[in-house]
Amino acid sequence: MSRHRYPVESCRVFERTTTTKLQTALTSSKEDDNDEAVKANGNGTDVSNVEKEKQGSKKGGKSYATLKIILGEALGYGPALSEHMILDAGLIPNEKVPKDKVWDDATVQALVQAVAKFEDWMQDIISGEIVPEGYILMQNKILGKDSSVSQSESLKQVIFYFSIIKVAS
Amino acid sequence: MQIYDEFCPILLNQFKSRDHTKFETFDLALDEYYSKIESQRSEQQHKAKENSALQKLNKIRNDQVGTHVQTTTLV
Repeated sequence: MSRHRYPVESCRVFERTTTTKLQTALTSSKEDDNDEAVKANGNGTDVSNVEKEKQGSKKGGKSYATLKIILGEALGYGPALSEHMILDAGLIPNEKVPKDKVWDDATVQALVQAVAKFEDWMQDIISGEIVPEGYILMQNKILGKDSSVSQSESLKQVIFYFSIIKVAS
Repeated sequence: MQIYDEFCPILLNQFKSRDHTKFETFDLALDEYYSKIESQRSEQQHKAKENSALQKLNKIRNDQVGTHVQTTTLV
């Protein structure tokens, strides 16, 4: 999330995403979305410009956004959650938007179901019906293991060299 | 030792392959995270310092061994 602008204009009371809303979001062009964001931002124009440039450079100059970006902007849940929902739907987050911006029915239906599943969960949390579980993720890298090995190796070398010196003298 | 990275109330699909610990409630996860993260971070920094000091020592040691071998071959 840190690499993305916080979608202040998306702050709202929770409401469910309808199938039609999702469909319009998927078929509306990326350029329109960005223009809207700039307008809604008002004084923060430069921020979204930077974002636009970043998105452009990531795709190597092509003007087609990925499914993840489109959904993230359309629903206002952010890129991480949109990726989660796309994976839930069994789709590929980095899938390019088709040239005519028309997604096939199966894709849209899968997305609608995944979004509904997530919003069911969220609605239960907001109403206080269920208490969310907690997850702690661990850091990936484990440092310091190889350096201790090399240390004992070099110690062996030192002992070896000193034994040579002793024999030589 | 495992070092905590982040916490969340829902296990995102993209993180399922990563090492994680599950807690009954989000509150429990937060308690656990914040009670240990400070000490884990300071320990990590301490280890990094220790490693860099050891590397320095090893470098000097290797230098010394090199010169010793040179002098013995000269004799």
